[in-house]
Amino acid sequence: MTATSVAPPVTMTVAPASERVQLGSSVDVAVVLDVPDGWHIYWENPGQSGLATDVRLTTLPEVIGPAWPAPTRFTADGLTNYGYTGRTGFVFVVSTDTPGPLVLDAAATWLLCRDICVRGEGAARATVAVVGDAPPPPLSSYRSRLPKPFTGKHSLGSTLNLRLPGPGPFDVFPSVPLEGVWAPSWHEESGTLVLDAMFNAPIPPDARLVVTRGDQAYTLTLNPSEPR
Amino acid sequence: MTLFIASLFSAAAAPTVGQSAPDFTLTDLAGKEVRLSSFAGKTVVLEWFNPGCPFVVYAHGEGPLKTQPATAAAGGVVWLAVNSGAPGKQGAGLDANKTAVADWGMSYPVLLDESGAVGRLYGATTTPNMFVVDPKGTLVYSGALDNAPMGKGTGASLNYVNAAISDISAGRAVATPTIKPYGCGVKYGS
Repeated sequence: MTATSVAPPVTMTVAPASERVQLGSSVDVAVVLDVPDGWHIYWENPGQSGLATDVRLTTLPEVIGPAWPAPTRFTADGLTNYGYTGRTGFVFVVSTDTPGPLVLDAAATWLLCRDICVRGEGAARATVAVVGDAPPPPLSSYRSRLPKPFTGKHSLGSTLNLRLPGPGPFDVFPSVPLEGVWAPSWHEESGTLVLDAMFNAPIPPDARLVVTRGDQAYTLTLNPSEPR
Repeated sequence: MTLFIASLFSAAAAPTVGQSAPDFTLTDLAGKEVRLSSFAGKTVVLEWFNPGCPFVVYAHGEGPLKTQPATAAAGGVVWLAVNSGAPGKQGAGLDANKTAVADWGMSYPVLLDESGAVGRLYGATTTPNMFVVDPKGTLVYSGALDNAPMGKGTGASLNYVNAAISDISAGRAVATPTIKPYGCGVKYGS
């Protein structure tokens, strides 16, 4: 049995800030979902029911984003929810390090609700022309040092277990002091970073880890899995 | 700021994990009465259910609930689905629930709670919202089925209901007694 699709369609487009971008610069790209009147999709914290919207630039897995626009509050089935209606843009910051056409393929999944909920998915594409001369060398190296979203395996609950394949060398940095919260142990095993840590105290809000692997850096938010 | 479901939900306070699970009697799809306390001495899982909710459709069609209830039953666990949808709301009524049972090969009862009284008694807010009662009748788990709504989770997959059942069998305290439930809102009447 499947839910009847009685919902109106959600249109999806990819809207870069510009269609011609100077090599070495960054361009803001909005993935826009047009949610029909009376219906909602959800914020990263959907609230008491619902499901967070998932928006990705599939050809650029290490891009920064999306930034979540601030949600609006709505009530469904007597429960409090956070989400969006109308034209909603999820912004990515895309850096350009290679000349030529840059294909921006976006994929999204969402839960579209009014009094009932219907799952939805979409795909859209835009292309940006990357033109001009190579950037001054220091700029790309500065940008490459910005941590990207962590791409290794991890599980987070009362313990954090994290694995990142190498090559190393590796290091791990908490963004806020975590003495008293955890005593992690990590080591390199067959070239892979292995980190296991038990939490002895609640994780402070906004705590993140920056994990370095050689010249590359990743960031992982330590969101507790407790009820929010 | 942490918000707890029980304090936001209206009507009587939902039972706290660690207290006795409130008794109730509801009717299944064949019109037979089913009473919770008749299962004393067994572990009971209560699954709040709405066959029209996409989270339930996923869980039964491709997700954990395709096989988990039968596996649990083989180990002596009693599994009951409760539909607290009011008449006329999504997933309510005999036909919708009988069709779901047939489509999904469900081998356990679906109990209709059209007044929503039992749902409110338990503080059920979403479908699926899971509760586990130990053989002594104590509510030992309340909350989400697992950490992957619609199959989307990060990191290691955790099924909180299976974990509670294992803890009970091993004579341990349930390690994770509550996790915020996910799903569609229960379609209570206004």
